[in-house]
This record gives sequence, C-alpha cells and structure tokens, in this order.
Amino acid sequence: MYRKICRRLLYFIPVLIGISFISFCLIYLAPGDPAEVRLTAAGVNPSASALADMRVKMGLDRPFFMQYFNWLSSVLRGDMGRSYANDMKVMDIILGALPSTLVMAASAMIITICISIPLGIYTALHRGKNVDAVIGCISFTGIALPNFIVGIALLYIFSYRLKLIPILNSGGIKGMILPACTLAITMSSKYIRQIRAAAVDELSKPYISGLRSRGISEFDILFKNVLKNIMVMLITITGISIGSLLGGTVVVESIFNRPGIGTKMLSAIGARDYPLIQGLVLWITLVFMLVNLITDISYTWFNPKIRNI
Amino acid sequence: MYNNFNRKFAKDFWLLFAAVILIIVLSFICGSFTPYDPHALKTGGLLEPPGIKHIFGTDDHGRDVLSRVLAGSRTSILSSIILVLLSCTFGTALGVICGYFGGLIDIILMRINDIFLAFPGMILAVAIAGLLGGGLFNALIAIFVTSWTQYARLARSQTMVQKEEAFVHAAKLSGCSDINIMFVHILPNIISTLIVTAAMNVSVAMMGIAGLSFLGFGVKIPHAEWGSMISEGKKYLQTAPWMALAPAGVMVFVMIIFNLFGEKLRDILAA
Repeated sequence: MYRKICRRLLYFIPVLIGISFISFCLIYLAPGDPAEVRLTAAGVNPSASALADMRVKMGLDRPFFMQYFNWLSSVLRGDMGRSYANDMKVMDIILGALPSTLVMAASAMIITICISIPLGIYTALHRGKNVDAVIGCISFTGIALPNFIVGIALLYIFSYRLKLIPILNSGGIKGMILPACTLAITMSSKYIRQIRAAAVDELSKPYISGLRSRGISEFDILFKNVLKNIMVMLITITGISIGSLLGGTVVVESIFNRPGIGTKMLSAIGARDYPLIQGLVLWITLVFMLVNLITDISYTWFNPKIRNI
Repeated sequence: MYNNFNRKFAKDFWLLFAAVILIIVLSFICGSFTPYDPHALKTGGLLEPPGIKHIFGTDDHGRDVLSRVLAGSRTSILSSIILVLLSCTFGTALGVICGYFGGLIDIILMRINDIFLAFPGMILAVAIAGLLGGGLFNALIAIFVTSWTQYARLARSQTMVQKEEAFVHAAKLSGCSDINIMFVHILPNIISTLIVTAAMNVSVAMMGIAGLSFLGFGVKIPHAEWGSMISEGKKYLQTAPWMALAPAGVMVFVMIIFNLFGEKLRDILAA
C-alpha cells in the first residue's frame, strides 16, 4: 500500500509542473505590461527609461522559459514575490487571509454534515412518505440555487427584514453565521440526495434483513453498518466539495464583506496585482490537490477492499 | 406528494421538453419585444415597487425590471446552452480520440486534462475572466477552460469499453478508416451518456456565467444579465428588494426546469 501511495505522489509531479506553468501563463494571458502596472501602482510616471529599467529589474527582458524557470525556482524556495500594490510578501498576505477562509469553509462543512447525514438517512428510512417528499422537493430546489442568490436571500431575510444579524459584519461569530449557512445550504441539498440514494441502496441489501432477523437494534444497524458503508461515498463528495467551497468563498466573501482569500483574489484582480493572483491560484490549487490525495488515501482505511488507489 | 409529483413528471417527459423549448424560444423572442426599453434611463419613477404598470417594479435608473429580466434571459440562457454545446463537443472529440488511439496521445492529453481538473473550477475561471477583463466572451472562455474536462474523461472511458466490441473489430476488418470508426460507429453508442451530462450541466453553466457577472467579470453593467442585475440590486436590498429578488427568482425557476428535464432525460436514456 505504501508503494502505491508513493507511486501516487510521483504521479503528482507532472500535474504540479503543469499547474505551475498555467499559473505562470496567467500573466501572459493578461493584456497590459506588468512593468507598467507595477510602476503605476508605485505612483511613478511610467516613462520609457523607467519602464526599461523596471523590465530589466523584473527579468521581463529574458526569454519566456527563462522567466518561467526563475519564477519556479523562487517559488520552490518559498518566495512567491511581492505584491505590486503594497510591496508586501505574497506569502504573508496569503497566510494572513487564510485563517478566516478556512474557519468559514470548515464551519460550512460541519453544518452541512450535521444537516445532511441525519436528513439523508431519515428520508431513506421513510422512503415514499410525506417527509421524504417534502425534503426531496426542498433539496431539489436547493440544487438550483446558486450561492450568490442564497447569500442575497439570507441577507435580505435575516439582516434587512428580521434585523437579527447586523448588515455590516461584526467580524465575530455572528458575522460568520450567514456566510457559513450560505455555503452549507447549497452543499447540503446535494449531500442529502446522495446520502439518501446511497442509504436506500444499502438498506435494500440482504445483510440488513439478516441483521434485523438476528434482533440487532435499528440504531446499531444504522450507525454501525449503514453509515460505515456509505462513508466512502461521503468522503468522495466531501473531497470534491472542498474545491467548490474554495471557489464559493470568492462569491460569499464578496457578498458579506468578509476578509479572506476570496476578497484578496477580487482585490488583486481589480488592481492587476499579478504576483498575488498567481500566488493565490497556486496555493488554492495545492490545497485542493492535497485534500484529494488525502481523500484517496483514506478510502483504504474505510474500505480495505480498495487497495488500488 | 413528492412521489406523485415524480410519477406525474415520469410520464410527462414531453411536457418538460416542451417547457425547455418554450423557455428557449421565449428568451429569444421576448428579448426583442419587452414591454419597456430595458436600457433607456429615466429621471422619474425610480425604484417603484411592483404594481400593475411595472410587474417587477423599476430599478435605480427607472428601468422596468421585468423588461430587463426578459432582455437578460437571452444572454443568460443562450450563452449557457452555447457554452455547454461547445465544451461537450470539444471534450467528447478529445476523449474519443484518447480512448480510441491510447498510447502517447492518450497519456499527453489526459495529463493536460488532469492539470485542468486540479484547479478548483471557479477560482481558475475568476482568475482568467479577471485577467482577460470583463465581457461575456471572456467569461465564456474562462468557464469553457474549466468545463471541457469532464466530457473528455467520460467520453474516453466509454470509448475504451466500446473499442473492444465485436462491431468495431468488424468495421476495422472491413477497412473503415479510424475517423469513420470513431465518429460513425463508436460515437452513436456513447452519445446518450454525454447528452445526459450536458443537459444536467446547463444549469451549472448558467450559475457559472451569472456568478462571474455577479462578481463583475461577466457582462458589462448597462447590458442586462441576471447575475449583474442581482449584483446591482444588492445595493438596494433595503429599499427596493425586487431589483435583486425578481431576476433571482426567475433564474432559479428556469434552472429548476432545466434540472428536471436533465433528470428525466437521464431516466429515459439510462433505461
């Protein structure tokens, strides 16, 4: 198994190189001259001589692949360059913004799990009854809700109508409730449907009747057998969700004016702050890949039958 | 209730199909025949609440919200359908080629696919759309870059299964060209799965385009589009909630219809 994990890690190397290449190319996609952007951001008049000096200083006069390798080697040494806007280290900006986003993503994930596992299994047990029908309808609608619409609706209901939560976020736990719920609502709709389908599938297997006939309590059947067996599926969708969660934070943080990776991304794009954009894309992608790797490895723990990861 | 609801729609695939066609046609026609001019700025009648004259009220520039929702429907619905068609065609073609030939082409193209799959979709889309600058076309490029991968994977795995079937060997023996085998013999056998995936993804594409517009990277402001309308309406949530809620409601309704249609299509084609 360890050899397989090692092989899996080796296989990551070409993908990592590709990701770094695309992140680097983002600058080349962009119209405009990075040297000019940097000079303007620093408040210097971009005269021809100043531009030429800046281009040499930034290494823009070198061939494309030389620039890429220079950039890559400094990234590998942990130096992602400095932000054009305020000359801070990109790494420091990212590390400063990360906690807020992680806390939000984690609380959204916890809310989602807490809502969807009980509801999914409950509807699977009461298949075809009214409860199943109502929850089925709600989750079907929930899938068609983009997170910015959910965010606006929650903001309207809880901040403007009921005035329960201040419109301008307080930064504390109270400010976290609506953003986390926004992300959780869109995710739980998908989760409830998938958990229900998996649980229905599991409950119809012969071993469940076997357990029931042996007098095992319904509680034990659900939590020691069914839940354990749908765990692999649950971990897969959780791993995939991390990606949409990281993307969703861009929208949600902008609606609720929260600091974090998403807001940094938007302001960096607005200011054409290329090193920061590059750094953010690269970091978010690395986190996403790492989560997927852990997901794959954890399969073997929950289901020893899967050894070929 | 839900089961009745389900059963009713199980019989009525054609009803949903008609609804989808109706939405597409309406979005085409109504975009040109709106009750009021969706772009004309007025000095009076700003932020009027919904009433008989303006069913969805007016916005901060005195424009009729209903007219703007209708004008925006063309942009939102048609561009998401075009996007899905493009990424499905491109991804399928690549996937079939990879699955059929295998070898070096397969390895290279699938590694490229892996690289694009490794990016969280929205993050890459925001970065690309932001760097290319706003505009619907750039937003479409940004979402296209992140959405073709799934079709390529699907088409590849399906092609690899079909490739070993007897009829493919027979076609080869009778001297059919590779292109002929790939697109005349294999493609018809795998197309239903791809069509279902594409149908389910129309609403995903709609969310993506509207999401980019909401963040200000999609359609430029005076032009009507649901995402940008919701974004504008956010500022007036206190005084004029209809500005954001009307386009949001219509958008969710349209997406539910498309999702119901996609699910129905899956039930029928999978059976």
